[in-house]
Amino acid sequence: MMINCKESAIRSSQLRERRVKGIRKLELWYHLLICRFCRTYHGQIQMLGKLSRLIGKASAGSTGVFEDASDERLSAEAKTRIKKNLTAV
Amino acid sequence: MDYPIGRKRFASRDGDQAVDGATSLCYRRPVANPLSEPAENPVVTGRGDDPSTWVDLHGDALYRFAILRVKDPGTAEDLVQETFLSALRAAAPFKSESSQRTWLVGILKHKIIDHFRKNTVEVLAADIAPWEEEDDVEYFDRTGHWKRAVHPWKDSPDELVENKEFWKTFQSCLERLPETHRRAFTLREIDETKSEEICEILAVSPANLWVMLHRARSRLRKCLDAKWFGAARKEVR
Repeated sequence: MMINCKESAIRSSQLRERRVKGIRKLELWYHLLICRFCRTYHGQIQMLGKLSRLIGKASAGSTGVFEDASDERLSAEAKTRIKKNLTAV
Repeated sequence: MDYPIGRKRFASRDGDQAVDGATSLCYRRPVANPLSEPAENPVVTGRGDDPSTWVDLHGDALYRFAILRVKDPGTAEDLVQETFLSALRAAAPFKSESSQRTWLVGILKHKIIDHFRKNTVEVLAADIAPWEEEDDVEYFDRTGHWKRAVHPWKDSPDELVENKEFWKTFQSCLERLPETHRRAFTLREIDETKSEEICEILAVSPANLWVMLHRARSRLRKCLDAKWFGAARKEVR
């Protein structure tokens, strides 16, 4: 019933792919129950997933957040080139 | 309409195309292409807008979307240009700027996936080992337990996503990932693509994909912990 922290970290990640089932899942939950560091790591992996989803949505322009938060811009040269190519079509 | 991809070339059920599934044991799911679905777009009749205004209206946003996923500025610019050209060839203008943006982002997403398909990156044995040797030694003792404390992260994701400095840190950490890991992570976690689709796009087996994702998460966590959350902890002290 006991897995170590290294295995627990792998399973925390696999859980996001719904790859941990049955006894393997029970072993993970049991380990998380008794190990504070693994609980923290598990929470961070979940948070990373949530953060990434939010960043994905923001970058798709569904919120204005990305435009304010990112400095990335299409260069002036690229804009000119693209406009030229578009008008040539 | 899912069907398994075997180890040899095979034709789909419809017999329309052969697919090389050499390294893949996953399922191929047809991806909806906005270019081929004009009926779903809020199209108005005629071609009204001057396409050159698209670049000013949407160019920066599309570039930001692309650069987060492909890293290389030149490639991101090319993908944005291809998106505009495809949009111009494919369809009529839209009623509103926001629906036009959504439509263009949809096209760009497909361009990025095509780019990943065409420019496959070799998966090295080191990329699919569950732990990097240095991480293994750094984090775990011989019995597989943590060598040192794992500190909790205090900030909330909703606040972080609005923080310009955090964006920079996140992007720089993402850029540090090996190309295969970055692509897998971006598709899975940022774009929420199904695992089955990702292993078809990247031409990897599900088992390899899961290891790559685990490694990507682990590295990203380590980088953010050192560059963002760890730095905040030091400031508090």
